Amino acid sequence: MFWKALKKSLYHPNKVKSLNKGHRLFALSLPCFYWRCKVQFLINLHCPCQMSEGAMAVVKPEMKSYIWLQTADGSIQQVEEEVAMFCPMICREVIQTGTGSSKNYAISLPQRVNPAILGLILDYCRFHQVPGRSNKERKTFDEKFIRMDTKRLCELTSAADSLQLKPLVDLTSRALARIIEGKTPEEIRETFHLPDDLTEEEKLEPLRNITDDPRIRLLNRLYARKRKELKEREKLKNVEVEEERVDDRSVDDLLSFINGGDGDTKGTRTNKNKKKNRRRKDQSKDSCLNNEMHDSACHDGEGNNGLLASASTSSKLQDSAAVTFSPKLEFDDGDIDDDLDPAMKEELDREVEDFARRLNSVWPERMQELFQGRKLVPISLNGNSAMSRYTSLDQR
Amino acid sequence: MGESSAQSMSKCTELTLNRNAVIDTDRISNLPDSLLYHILSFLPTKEAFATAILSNRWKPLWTLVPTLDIKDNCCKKPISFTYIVYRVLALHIAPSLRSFRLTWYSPCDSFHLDTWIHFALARNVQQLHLEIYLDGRQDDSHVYVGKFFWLPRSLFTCKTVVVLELSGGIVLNPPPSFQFASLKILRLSKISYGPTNNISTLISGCPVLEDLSVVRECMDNVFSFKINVHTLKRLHIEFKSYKPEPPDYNLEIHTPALEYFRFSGHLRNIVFHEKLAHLIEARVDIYALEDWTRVYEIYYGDRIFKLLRALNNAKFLSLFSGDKECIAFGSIYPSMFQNLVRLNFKVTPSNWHVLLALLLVAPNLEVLVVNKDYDNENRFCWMELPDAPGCLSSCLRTFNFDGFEELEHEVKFVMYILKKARALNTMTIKIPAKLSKEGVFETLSMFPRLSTTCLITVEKDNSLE
Repeated sequence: MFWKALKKSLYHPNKVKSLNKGHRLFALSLPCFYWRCKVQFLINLHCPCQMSEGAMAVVKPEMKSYIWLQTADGSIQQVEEEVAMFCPMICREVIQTGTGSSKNYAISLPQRVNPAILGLILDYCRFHQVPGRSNKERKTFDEKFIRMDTKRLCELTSAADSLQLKPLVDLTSRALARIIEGKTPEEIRETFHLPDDLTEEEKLEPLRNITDDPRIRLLNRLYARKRKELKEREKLKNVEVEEERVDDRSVDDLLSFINGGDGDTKGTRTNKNKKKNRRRKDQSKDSCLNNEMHDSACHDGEGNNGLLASASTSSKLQDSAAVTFSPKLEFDDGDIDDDLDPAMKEELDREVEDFARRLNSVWPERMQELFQGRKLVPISLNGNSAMSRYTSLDQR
Repeated sequence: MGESSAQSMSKCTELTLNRNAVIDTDRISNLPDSLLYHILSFLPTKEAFATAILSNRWKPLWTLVPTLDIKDNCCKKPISFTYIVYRVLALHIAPSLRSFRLTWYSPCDSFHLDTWIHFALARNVQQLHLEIYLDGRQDDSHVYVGKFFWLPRSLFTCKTVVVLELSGGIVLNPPPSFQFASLKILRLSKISYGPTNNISTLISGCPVLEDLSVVRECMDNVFSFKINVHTLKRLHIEFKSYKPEPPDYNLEIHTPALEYFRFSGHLRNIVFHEKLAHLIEARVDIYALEDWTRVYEIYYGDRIFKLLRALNNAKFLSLFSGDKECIAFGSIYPSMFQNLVRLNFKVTPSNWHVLLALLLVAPNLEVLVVNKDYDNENRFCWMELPDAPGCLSSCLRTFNFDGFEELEHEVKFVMYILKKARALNTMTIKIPAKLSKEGVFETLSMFPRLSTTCLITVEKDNSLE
């Protein structure tokens, strides 16, 4: 009865599927080794599973469906149907155009999918298409899966996007975002090998004023002016004392703003002045500057400390945090040409903040303070006069 | 000459190779714009903004990212930061926003925040998350005392918002008739409601609402509202109060399509006017202040059972019915929990009988997880274990007991389970560190059991004292 059944199934084409499973069970269930071999031999003889690949290609789909995929480089792969159908793009191709059922009619995948990446994508699909998995299992798999170098991660994102496999796109995008997060621009450039092709001006003033908001323009100008003044102050500490050319124009800008004039071009000029006046960094002066900032008693002849008296009450950390938003953008640390070090930047930012706040509050009172604070430094004389000009204007 | 040309050739190839190497390894810039926007949308706006100085390719990208996540810096001088936010918003040109998140903890003029929310609304925002404390967040008290932020009126005419999440010092002030035509998910956390009608108005203005979450931490006056939403699938209510007086509220719920219900806090009047026929999961955690339960104790147990009766269609129930003695009054009868498949029960000295009552009315229970929440306590509500046939016998497959201390009633309970559950497959007992695994295991193995395939496991739970 056993042999009859076997022969029947062997010659019945429709039974091929069950035979595939069945024949292994038959062979293994036989207690006697001899019988096992005999049966196996017979099965091998007749079972189409053992035949050549060409024939297999014809018969196999009936037992287990496969989809044929062709990557851009011409190589063809065959993939289990349920795994391949997990990709919406492949699914659509199969349903709409009917391709993929055989080697000659393989689905050509988009160019962004190369064989190695296809392998990864199929691993992902193979795991996730199984319905019974818990969320925790899937999450664990995803976390392990996503560990790869950034180059491959980018390729995978691109490929997943072209196959419209949204869960994988989200997973890889989040991973890339995590890599970007928290890094400085140089670190990001290094990680992803980005070309450093922005000019200095573009980096320092990346947000060119394309808005009419006068406060924003003023802030830009204040920034530029403060940068200059800080630089100048640093120079005073250096052995070389150079006469610094004061940029009157920035003050004029402020005036003209108050008078309602257009100051954009002047703003640009301020930047150029700043560039011309560049000096190299002086790192040893950092700590000195910092200490000064925290002294908060405006004694050491630095006029700007008057301004900073109230600024120093808030912690350094907070303030630097407050404006990390822009300095990160506007100052490139690793750049050799940049002559402002972090300490100065922080100082600068604090000042600008304070200055901006003062603009919003009552003028006369503040002018007193500023006036008193600035009289000690020759450069600030101009500032003072500017201030007095303001005052007079204000009290019209 | 041949040599030099060969050299120059190799130099050329070297240069070419190097150039290729440089170009090849910058993979991320080759991604299409849409993908880069997608990647940047997972970053806080601060970081996305900073990518503008990476390279020419990246310069304009941040302006088109469809999400904005603005978080203030908690600094004492936020004025310059508000300038920065204005600048960012002015330069941001994505035509529609998928999500706008504003987290603000510093003192600020509310008109700034108002302007920014207007900006988001003008960009057809779909998800709006606002967490605003105008006078700075006060961490030491649970109650925010400070200036409140009034939501702009234009918010209530927004047709595109699908998810709205409000928390902090915000006053809810919906106009008398409005509609959030697309709102599906609404989460209100610790905000101020003004006159109590506001929340009813808000909820009734959401015709397609599916997920509602209301969390209140301080309830001054009587708070009554109706939840009358036929599309609501998920409901989460949390009413806790840190004041000595009990919070008082009346909640009338008409949600026939509810699938998930979660309640946490002090229980007062919650009435379900319609049968929750589609209920899948319910989580109930009841906490009661010592003082007022003494006054209301007679009604307290009653209230709990009333709520439980309304939840009797649930498949999964997780229950902590509080640790006050007053629960001894009342009972679940006559409701049956026919669909209950999984029960997580947190047991205290005063609610053992609730557990036993539930076991009686849940004939199809498959998984029972019991957590203990008390130390060796002499007084407890215990009742004779029911001997009714069919109870626990056919379906219970898994039984977990966390915090088993070999107390008399616990031992009795475990024996009872073993005796009754014919289909029991696994029993996992977690013991505190002071007991010995082997000792407990031996004791348990001695008990007579009805199930032939039961696997008993004893584990040490180091988190218990």
